[in-house]
Amino acid sequence: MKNGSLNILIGGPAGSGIEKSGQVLALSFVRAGYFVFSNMEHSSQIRGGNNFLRLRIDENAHEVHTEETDAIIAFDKQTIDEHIHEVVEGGVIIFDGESVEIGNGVDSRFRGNDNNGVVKMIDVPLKKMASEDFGNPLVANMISLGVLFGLTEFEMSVIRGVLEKIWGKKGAEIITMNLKALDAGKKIADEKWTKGFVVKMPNRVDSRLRGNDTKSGNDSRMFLCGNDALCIGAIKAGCKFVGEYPMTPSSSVLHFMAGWAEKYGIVVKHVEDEIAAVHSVIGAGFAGVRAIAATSGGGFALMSEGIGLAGMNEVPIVVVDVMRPGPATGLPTRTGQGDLQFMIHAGQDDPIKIVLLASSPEECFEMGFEAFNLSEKYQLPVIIGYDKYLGEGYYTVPAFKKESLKIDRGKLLSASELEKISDYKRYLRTDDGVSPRAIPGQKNGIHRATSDEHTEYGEICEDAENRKAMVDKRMKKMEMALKELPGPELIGDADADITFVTWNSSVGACLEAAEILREKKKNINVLKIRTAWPFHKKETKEILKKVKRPILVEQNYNGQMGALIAEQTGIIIQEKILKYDGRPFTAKEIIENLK
Amino acid sequence: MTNLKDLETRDKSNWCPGCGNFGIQTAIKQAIVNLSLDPANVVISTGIGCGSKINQWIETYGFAGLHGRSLPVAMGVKLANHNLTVIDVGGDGDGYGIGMGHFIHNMRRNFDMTYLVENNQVYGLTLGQTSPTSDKGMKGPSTPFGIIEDPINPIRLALSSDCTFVARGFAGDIPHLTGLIEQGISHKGFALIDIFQPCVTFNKINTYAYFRQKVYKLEEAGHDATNLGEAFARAGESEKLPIGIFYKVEKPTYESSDVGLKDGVPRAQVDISEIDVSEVEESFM
Ligand SMILES: Cc1ncc(C[n+]2csc(CCOP(=O)(O)OP(=O)(O)O)c2C)c(N)n1
Repeated sequence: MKNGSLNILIGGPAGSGIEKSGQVLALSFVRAGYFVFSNMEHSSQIRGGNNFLRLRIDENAHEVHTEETDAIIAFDKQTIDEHIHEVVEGGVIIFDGESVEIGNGVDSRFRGNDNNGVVKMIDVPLKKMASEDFGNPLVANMISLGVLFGLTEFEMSVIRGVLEKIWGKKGAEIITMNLKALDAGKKIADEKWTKGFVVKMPNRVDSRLRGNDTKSGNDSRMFLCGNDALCIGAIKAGCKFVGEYPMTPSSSVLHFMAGWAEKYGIVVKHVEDEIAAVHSVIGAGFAGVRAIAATSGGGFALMSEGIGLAGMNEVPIVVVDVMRPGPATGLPTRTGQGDLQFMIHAGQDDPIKIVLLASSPEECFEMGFEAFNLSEKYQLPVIIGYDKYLGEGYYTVPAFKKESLKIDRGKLLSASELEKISDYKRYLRTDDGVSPRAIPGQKNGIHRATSDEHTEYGEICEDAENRKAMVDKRMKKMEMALKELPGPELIGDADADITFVTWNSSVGACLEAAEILREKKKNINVLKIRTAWPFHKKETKEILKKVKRPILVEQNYNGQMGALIAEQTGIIIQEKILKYDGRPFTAKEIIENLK
Repeated sequence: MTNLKDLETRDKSNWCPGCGNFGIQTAIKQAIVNLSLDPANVVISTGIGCGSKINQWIETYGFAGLHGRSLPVAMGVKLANHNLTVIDVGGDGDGYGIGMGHFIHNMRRNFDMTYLVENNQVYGLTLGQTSPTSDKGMKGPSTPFGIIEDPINPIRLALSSDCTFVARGFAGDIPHLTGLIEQGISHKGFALIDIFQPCVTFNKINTYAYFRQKVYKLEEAGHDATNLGEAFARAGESEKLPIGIFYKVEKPTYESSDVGLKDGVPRAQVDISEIDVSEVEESFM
C-alpha cells in the first residue's frame, strides 16, 4: 500500500448501482490527475447474481487490473466471501452490517486465523442512513463512496463537477443530495477510521488551473473503454452508416453511435439480424458511404457470407468483432480471444480481407480510423478484432493524436475523372489490383457489382482464364495492403531472454509481467501482433528467428496465434501460457505460469 | 431523355426461351423510360436465382448480392443516398423463403423503394424444387410426394405488415405490369409488386395459359385500393386471381424520419475531410 495508488473493488448483485458508483469514483480520481483502469466482471443477468467492478487508480497508467485490493465496497455477502482474500494487509472492507450479513467467521476465513484483524471491517448503516437521513434509499451507495473518499483524504471539491456531469440533466437537487450523502460518509470516515488507512490520494492537478471541468485543467484526460475509442476513430473517419444488431460485448458501439447520430449526421440502424447488418453496410459502402457493423462471435458467424460478398464485389466495409468466449452463446459477458482463426476464415474460399488486432484504446481509435482508409484504398472488408476486456475495459488516456490522420478514399473517382473514361470497367485489372471505383449516381460509371465471378465490367463469367485473372487481381490487393499494415512490434530490449508473443489486451498483462520481472533481473520483451491477415510472414519470421525463448500468451485453448505463426512462418512456438476460463489475465498469473 | 436502347447491356440474357422474366425485364425498362429516370440514378439490387440475374441485363447501376439478401443491401443503398431510385428484384425463394425476415422488416420501415418479386412458385436456378408459394400438393425433386404446407400469401402478408403499396402483376401482361412498376416507383414508400412469372421449364401448373384464364384487373372490377378489408378479401381469392393495386396508403418514409438525415443531404454527398471529434472526447473527461 502506498500513497497515490489505490485498488478498489465494488461488488454486489446486478442492479445495485455498481457501475454508477464506479463511474463517480473513476471520474473523480481522473479529474484529480490520476490514471484509472477499470474492468467489470458481470454475469449475463439483469438483476441478482454477483457483479464486481475493479478500479486500479495510480499515478501511472495501467492497462491491466490486479487482484491485490486495498478497499472493497461490498453490497452483498458474496463479494466479501469471494474477495476478502485479495485484500492486502491494512486494507478495508466497507459494508452495511444491517443488510450484508457477515458471520463471526470472516476474519478466520481470511488467510486463516493468524491474519486476524489485518483487514478492517468498516460497518456503516448505509441503508438506514439513506432512508432516515435522506429519505432516499438510492443514496446508500454515495455514502459508501464518501467513506472511501474520507479514508483517502480526497479533495471533495473535485467531485461536484463529476456529479454535475453524471446527473446534470436530473437537476441541482439530485446533485446536492448526493453531495450531502458523500459528506455524510466522509464524516464517518473522518471520525473513526481515517488514521487507520494509510493510502492517501492527494489532488495531483494544480488547483490554480483547475475549474470544475478538466478542460481548464492542465491535464485533460479521457476515461473511456475500447469500444468508445473505436467509435471516436470511426466518427473521425467520416463513418456515416451503422448497421447493427445488439450483442454483448459489442452493443455499446451501437449505443454510442446512436447517441451521436444527430450531431454528426450518422444513420444508425438497429436491423433485424446480423445478416441484415452486414448487408446494409455493404449497400452503404457500395453507394459510397463509410459504414461499420460491430458484433461479437455469434453475430460474426451470421455475417460470414456477407464478408465474403464484400470481398468478391470489392466493397469497402468495416466490421468489428468484440470477442467473448464461444462457441454458441458461450460466456456472453466474459472475455476471450477465440475468434482469431474464425475472423481470418469467415467466408468461403481464400480470405479477401484485412484483419486488424487492437491491443489498447489508442489502437482501437487508430484502427477505427484507419480501417476506413484501408477498406476504401483496397476495396475490401476490414475486420477489427479485440477482446471484451479491451472493448469494455475503461482506460485513462489523453485526447487522441489526430494531427497525422488523413482521409484517403483510394481510387474513388470524381465526376470529372469519370467523364474522361470512355469504356468504364469497374473491375479493371491494374498493376496494384485496385480498380478505379465509381458509385451509383455518377454518370459514366454504370456497372453491376456481382457476387458471381465476373469480368472486368462486372458481368457474370465462368471462363477459366478470367477466373484465374480475377482471383490474382483480388489477391494482388492483399499483397499491396500488407506493405502498409501495422506489422509485428517488438517492445522492450531486443536482446531479452524471454519473449512473450501475444495480441489484444493480453499485451497489457504481458508488459506488466515483464516490468515486474525486470525488477527481479529478468530480461523479457513482448512481441505484439497487430495484423492477423494478410500476415507479415517475413517480418515475424525475422524477429522470431532471433528470439531466445518465445512464449505464446493468449486466451483460447488451441493457441490460435501460435498456429497462425506456425502456418505462416514455419516456426513453432513450444511454450504456451493459455487461458480460456473467460476471465482476463493478470500480470501475476502470467508470472506464476512462467517456469 | 432515356430510351430503351440506353438500357441495353453488352451481354444478352440467358433465360430459357419463353421465361416470364423477359416480360418483367421489358416492363422495368419501359417504366424507367416512361418515368424519364436517368439510369445513373437507378440502382437495381438483386439476390440469387434465375430471376435475380435481371440486373445483369439492364444498363443501370446494379448490385448482385447473395441469395435472399437483396433487401438489406437496398436499404443500405437508400440510406446512403436517398436521391437514388432503388429497385429490388428477386425470386419467390429469394424473398419469401430465405429472405423472409428482411421482407417483413423492410415493409414496416417504409423506405422509398420498389420490390418486385418474380413469383414463379418454384426454385428455378436449383432445378425446380417447390418454393414457399408453390400450390399445395405440387411435386418437385425435394417433394416427390407433393408439398404438404400451405403456400404463403405474399399479398396478405404485405397487407398485415403495413406495406404502403401492395400490388400484383402478371409477366404475360407487360403494359399492365409496366404501369404498376411506374406507380410503384412513384409511390413515396415501400412498394411491393408480386408478379406471376410463368417458369416454362419447371412449373407445368402455373403456366401462361393458366394465368390468362384466371387473372382479372382490380381497377376494372371497381376495387377500392384504400380499403384494407376489401384488399384483404381480394387477396384471398383463388378461383379468379386479381392483378393490380390491392392497397395504397401514404405514410412518412423511413429516410424522412431518421435524425441522421435531418439536413436532407444524402450521406454519400457529405464532405468527410475534416471532422472535429473534440466534443465527443470532452464527453469522456
Ligand atoms: C445461402 C444460399 N443457399 C442456397 C443457394 C442456392 N440457390 C440458388 S438460387 C436458389 C433458389 C432460387 O429460387 P428463386 O429465388 O425462387 O428464384 P428463381 O431461380 O426461381 O428465379 C437457391 C436455393 C444459394 N445460392 N445461397
